[in-house]
Amino acid sequence: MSAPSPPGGREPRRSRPGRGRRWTGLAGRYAALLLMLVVMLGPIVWQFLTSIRGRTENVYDGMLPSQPTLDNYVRVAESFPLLQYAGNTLVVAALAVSSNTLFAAMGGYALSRAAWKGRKVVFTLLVATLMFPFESVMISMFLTVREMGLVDTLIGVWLPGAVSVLNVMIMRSAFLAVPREVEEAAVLDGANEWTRFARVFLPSAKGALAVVCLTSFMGAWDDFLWPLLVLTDSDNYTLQLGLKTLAGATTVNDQRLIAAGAMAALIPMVLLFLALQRFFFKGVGEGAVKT
Amino acid sequence: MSAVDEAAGPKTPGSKTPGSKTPGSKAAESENGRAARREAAGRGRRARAAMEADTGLVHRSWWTPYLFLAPGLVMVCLFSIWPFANTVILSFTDARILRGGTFVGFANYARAFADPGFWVAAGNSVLYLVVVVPCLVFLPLALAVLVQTKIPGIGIFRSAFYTPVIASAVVVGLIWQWVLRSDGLVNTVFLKLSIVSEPIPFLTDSTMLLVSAMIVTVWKGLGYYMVFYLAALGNVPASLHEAAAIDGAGTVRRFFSITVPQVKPMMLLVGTLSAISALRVFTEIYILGGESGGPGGGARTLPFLIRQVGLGFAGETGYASALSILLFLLTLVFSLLGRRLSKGDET
Amino acid sequence: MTRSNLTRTAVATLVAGTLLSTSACGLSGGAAEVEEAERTGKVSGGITFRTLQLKPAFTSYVQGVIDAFEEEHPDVEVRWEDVPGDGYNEKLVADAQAGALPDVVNLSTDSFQLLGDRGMLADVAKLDGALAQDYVPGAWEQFRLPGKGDGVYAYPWYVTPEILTYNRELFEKSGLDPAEPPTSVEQFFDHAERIAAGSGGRYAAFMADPKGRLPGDWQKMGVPILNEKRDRFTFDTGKAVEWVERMKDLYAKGAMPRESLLKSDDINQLYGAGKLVFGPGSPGFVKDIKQNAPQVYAKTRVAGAVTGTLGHIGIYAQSLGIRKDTRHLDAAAAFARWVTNGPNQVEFSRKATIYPSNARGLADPLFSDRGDGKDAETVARAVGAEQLKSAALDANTPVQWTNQVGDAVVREMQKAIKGEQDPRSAVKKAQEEANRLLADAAAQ
Repeated sequence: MSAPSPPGGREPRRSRPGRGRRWTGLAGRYAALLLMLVVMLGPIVWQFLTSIRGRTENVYDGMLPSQPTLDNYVRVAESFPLLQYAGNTLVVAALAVSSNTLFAAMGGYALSRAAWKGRKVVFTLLVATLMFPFESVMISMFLTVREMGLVDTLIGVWLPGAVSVLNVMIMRSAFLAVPREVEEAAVLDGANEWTRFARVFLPSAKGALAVVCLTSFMGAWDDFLWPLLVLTDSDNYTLQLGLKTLAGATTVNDQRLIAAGAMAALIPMVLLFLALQRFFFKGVGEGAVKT
Repeated sequence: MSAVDEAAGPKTPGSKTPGSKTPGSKAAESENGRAARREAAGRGRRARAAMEADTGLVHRSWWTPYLFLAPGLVMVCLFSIWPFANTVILSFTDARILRGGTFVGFANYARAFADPGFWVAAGNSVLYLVVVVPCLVFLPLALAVLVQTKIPGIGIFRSAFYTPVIASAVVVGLIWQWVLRSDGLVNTVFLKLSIVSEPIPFLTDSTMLLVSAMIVTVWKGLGYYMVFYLAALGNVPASLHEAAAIDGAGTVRRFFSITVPQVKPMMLLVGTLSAISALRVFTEIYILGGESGGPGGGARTLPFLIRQVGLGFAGETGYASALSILLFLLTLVFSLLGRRLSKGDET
Repeated sequence: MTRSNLTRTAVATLVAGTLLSTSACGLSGGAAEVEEAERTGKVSGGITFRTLQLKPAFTSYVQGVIDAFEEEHPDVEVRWEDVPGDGYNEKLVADAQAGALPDVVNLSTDSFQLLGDRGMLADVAKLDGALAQDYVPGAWEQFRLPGKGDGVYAYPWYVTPEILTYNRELFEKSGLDPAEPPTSVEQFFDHAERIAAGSGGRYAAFMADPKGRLPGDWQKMGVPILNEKRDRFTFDTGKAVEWVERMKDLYAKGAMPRESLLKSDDINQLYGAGKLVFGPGSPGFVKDIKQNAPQVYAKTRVAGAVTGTLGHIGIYAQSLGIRKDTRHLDAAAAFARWVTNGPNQVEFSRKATIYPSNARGLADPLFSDRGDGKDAETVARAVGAEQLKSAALDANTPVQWTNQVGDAVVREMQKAIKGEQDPRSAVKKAQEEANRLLADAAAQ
């Protein structure tokens, strides 16, 4: 069920001569893709089917909805200020994406292109921070944000994730792949450090930047526990906090409504992915050819 | 063809900073004529050379790296290092939730070492790492290769493969339970086909539960790390594959002789990240095996133990902190070990 | 070179040092000792009121209660914060740690025990001694704390009683009479055995869920959980072993879904799909199944909970705690009293599947109306209310049975029920472990 056969093995032999071969190759590739699609898409399909079930349908039984309806989505939109919460999430996500792309790129640059004393120590230190369990540092983080007077603000939600070490490492790995000649050429042009960073390195790591955008956006969009700790006024709630109000201890949990809410929250992420996926390949080579 | 790619590199700044073309192309031209395969190997070496760039034409002031790192370091100090220092101190106390403790020396650590549950959990964590990391280093790469080509509708497939990453844990748990239950999809099919005579206890046996959780981890990780590899694959010149194909190298061979060496830095990163997350696994075991962590707690991992001990209203903050530190040390050991194994490839 | 090395080190140290000191805010896992607030006799000031997941379903009700209070006390301003159920406790702990608890806060049994034990809640018996008689028996006493004398540390709010829910059709298929549901644990097991014998593996009788069944099942079988001083567990008895043996036997016979030994969060799912005979024991569930599986709801019957030798159910009230160092003690107390008074609680239970802890509230005709006896939701309300009138604290999970104790006991039970451990030694080991945890907690 789990381990899909390495798709590499089914890769079409595109460079081999012979038309028939190419067609079987393409068909094989699509077959592999479709197989993976079935394996990977399960939860979303299930969630979607639940979200369009009619009110009199049994949500716990049966495979396909017998009375499909979009009514549940309307009810989600009516049951809490969806747009306001989505707006709050967008603010946090936009801050997170900008700060992460800029600062993670800067950090990754320093860790990859310069030979300086203490680089190894700092690098090890950064990797080490990835290993701390969130629960053990959660309360201290909260006290710090509180001390800074940022409780119940979106800034407070954003701040701890403003520069994630993970993103620094992604950027570092991307900059390591930039050939030294490129950098030297820029130096000969008289470009200073910042210019080299902004004009040479950033454009050649578009793929990695797209990945950083994606991970930081997802992080901000999906986070629940931290925003909950920081925010108290429901006007400031993010989307994930709002969604939790659909399911509760004292309310009746309408599974259709919960599923519709979850789908509504998923859609922007899928759209973002669709929009970004073209950029993932813009590495050193391709990014340069296009510019 | 390879020269085109190489020469194209410097054009990036060229379009913005006029005049850079000439020297850049020259550097690239010197590469001209080298065999594609040798170039693949050379790339890694060059990347390493870049690390020592200060000896060449590139000069920097000593404080420049600090300046570039400053925003990241500030955040890390505030939100990681500082809380961590707190955890270290708490691990030497008998603090409980909402109650400060007194210094107890190494008592918490001694207690952990004397607890058979701790060793089971540590063993499970290590087992998890050993199984999951190789899967997550290679399978997402294979998936990335599969979705790399530009064929109609590929964007849809890429996005679809990413959805497990963003699906809610509750729904993921429900679906996988539906698949793995004793009366679930897999067992029903296997029983019908007489592959097994008794349902496989995917969720009710500690070892099988760990395996099932690993399956879910790998399944979620496929899409996540696929994205990392897509970015890295962008750096692999198509010319390499074409040259090798002309030499008669098959798909599988090209995967191992060209793709793998080219994305090696990314494989190291993915290896590190997946190792860290494997050692921190909690959710998968919780959603499949319930709050006891498998029958008799036999499928508990270290993070699972930490939560059981530290959270909730009887929370033993001190002991949980000690367990956190032990988990941290275990992670450190494995990341150093991983470095040893891949020595000389990076940094 | 040496010089610049020195500078580098100095700068790095300085930066790190400044960061650490600016973020310094108490290296400790505990909170400072809380000062007790003074009464002023003046009901005024701004207070915060935190509820557990009442928005958006009950926004208008809660806002109405607040508005009416503010009208009566124009000098008080109530700020209402509603927090989702997921993460409620984490937020509470973080706020308590920061010394930022709300003035009036909704507490569940375990969060009450934590905050009360740490001395963060005001003694409401001292504020309103005469109030005790307003509540149903047990509700007021539930908020005393071991080792804290006669103090009562929260106002009882709404309660949800335990009931029995089952699928009539599957009952009949198994040759059981839906009009005669089990009343003791032993009978319950007998029923399950009949169901398993006739189900052919298509449905199960009940969820094994040892975490949820204990220590309740043992109490209902007359097993003494604690000694009289309540400082040692004493459940290692023949009856408890008998319970394990029965469970083991039924598990092997397929009376419970195999996975339910570990987790039972899919209980609604299974019951709603007609794969389970006994549903969850809460009135809220009846409403849930009506919403999500209307066809199965039509087959659902409701009866009084299995109470065995106890003869009554326990009482678990949500409560409103008052922050001990609140700046406006009088306003906070007056407001908590207002929210928990009879009329406001009855009004609330008309809208939600909850019951008033207030005696006069529970006497409201709403709670004795069984309708035509066919609608499960209406019957559930009446059955639940009826049981609440005789509810008593001795059926509750003892305070000493913490989550950690429960986990430790359950681990041994799981092994025994699966047949990997002898029931007798499982109970013995469980008690030893439970006593060790109890002693550890008491040592501090």
